Amino acid sequence: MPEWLTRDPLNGIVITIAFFISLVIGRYLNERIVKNRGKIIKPGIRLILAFLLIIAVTLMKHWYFPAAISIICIFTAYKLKLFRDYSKYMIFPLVMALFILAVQGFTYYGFLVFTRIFASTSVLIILILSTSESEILGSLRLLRVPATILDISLFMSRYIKTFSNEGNKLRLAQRSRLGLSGSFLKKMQDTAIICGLLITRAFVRSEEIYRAMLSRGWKPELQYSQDFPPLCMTDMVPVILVVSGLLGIVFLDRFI
Amino acid sequence: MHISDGILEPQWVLFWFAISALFIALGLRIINKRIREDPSYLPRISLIGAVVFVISVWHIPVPVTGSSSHPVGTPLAAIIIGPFATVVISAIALFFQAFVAHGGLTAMGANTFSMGIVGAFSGYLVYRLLKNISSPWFSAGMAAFIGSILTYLTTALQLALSLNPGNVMYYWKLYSIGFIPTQLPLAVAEFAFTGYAIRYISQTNAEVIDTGRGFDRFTKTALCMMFLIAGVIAAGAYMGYMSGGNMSGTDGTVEASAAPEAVSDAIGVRLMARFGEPLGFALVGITGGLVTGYFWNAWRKS
Repeated sequence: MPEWLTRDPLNGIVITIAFFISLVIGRYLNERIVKNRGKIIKPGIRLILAFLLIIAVTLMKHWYFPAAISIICIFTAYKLKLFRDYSKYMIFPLVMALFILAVQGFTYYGFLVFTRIFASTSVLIILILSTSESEILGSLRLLRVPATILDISLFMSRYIKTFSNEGNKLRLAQRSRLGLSGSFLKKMQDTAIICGLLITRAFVRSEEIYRAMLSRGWKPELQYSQDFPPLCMTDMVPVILVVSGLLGIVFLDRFI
Repeated sequence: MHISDGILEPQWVLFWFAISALFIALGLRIINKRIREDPSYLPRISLIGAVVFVISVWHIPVPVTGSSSHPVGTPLAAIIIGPFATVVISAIALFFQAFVAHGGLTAMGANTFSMGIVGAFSGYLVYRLLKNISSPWFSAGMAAFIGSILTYLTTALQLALSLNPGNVMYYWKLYSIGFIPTQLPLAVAEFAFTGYAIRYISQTNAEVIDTGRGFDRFTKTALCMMFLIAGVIAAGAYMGYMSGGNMSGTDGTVEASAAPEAVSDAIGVRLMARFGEPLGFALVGITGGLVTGYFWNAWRKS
């Protein structure tokens, strides 16, 4: 019998168990990634995990953990070919982060907050670029968001695009008739006229929509069909992995 | 300017979520009640909410700075659909705005409070106070001006409370001064924009504007008392700050007058030390208010 086999077995057992369990999980995750074309986590769970990750980032006391998360996000955006959109969305939060850095007087804490903003915004942007609005709205039903909020959200998401296009058409029409030019007050008046027109149009259109809804059998607090499958036990695997990873990072950050 | 993710400390994230959730729940209750009475209210509020969202992301020219920025929009929405419905609409709008990286998921509570609650309620109250003594466009303009200014003062306060808890007043002033170059001219622009918009709507389709069923006497009295007492405390604190006071807060006076025998290391004191005093005071306020409100009618009858 080899000599090394007769010694303390603890380390050997630990490494063997850890390796084979990780092997099984790794293979399982790979199969799910291929099967779901990269979307192994359901949108609702992704939303909660992003929220938890952002909270974990705000709990961090060392700048290098948020910085590492930011670098991973930049790499992910590059890998998913989303870097152009990612950088476009980063502009506004970066301005805010720089403003706070300046007010804090370029101290360590100011720099920490700067990296936190960078990391959490990166996480949010990766979430919104990899998940559609309708997927998230659909998954909100699973998270027991009140039906009225969902109804209003669905209407709003549908009509924001419509009114946005209508507003742009009105502005173009006004500009072609020499509107939206001249003094500040004239510009304000012209913009306000379009705004008033849109609001009155929305009011009139809502009556038409209500009649259309009634003709399709709509009632308040209507029960919806399950467009999105409920959560199952297999959804728990990525959740457990990510949550343990998050707890690990926060633990490391706090006790390093 | 909305607060982004990663700025607020977790206890403040929870605090602003709790306060906003309370107002959203109240708003939902009112919306559901109106939908039961008139189901066409649902598409109406949603569509007007969509328009207000579209308008609030339009860039309007800002005088002095030469740049352009987007209006708050909530005072205008509060005048049209009422303040409670505006809180719900603005929370949803902020959720959508998070999809274009304006604001964030964890900052939604704080942004809903500053934009949806403070902006909408202050704007609406100013409009209701002024509309009987001045023209609708001026009342609406002033509502937008005050709503816009208070929104940004609240955002500055939220930043100071979370980032600089040791020196809140100083940093509140500093953040507010930082916002002034863009936000003061923007408030002037919002005054003109909202005033003209309400004048146009009054001339073309006045029924769009929420005439408001008005609050009952109890709610009116409670809101007046809230603003009066908060105003007195804020004015007193400001005067104390200007005259170089130590700004140690009212809690010491409260403890000495109301509970001189209180144990200094009791569970309440330790919890407040652990989670922060504002959270403890808010919890006491919410509990006291809920219990008093719940049993108010019973007490009155007895």
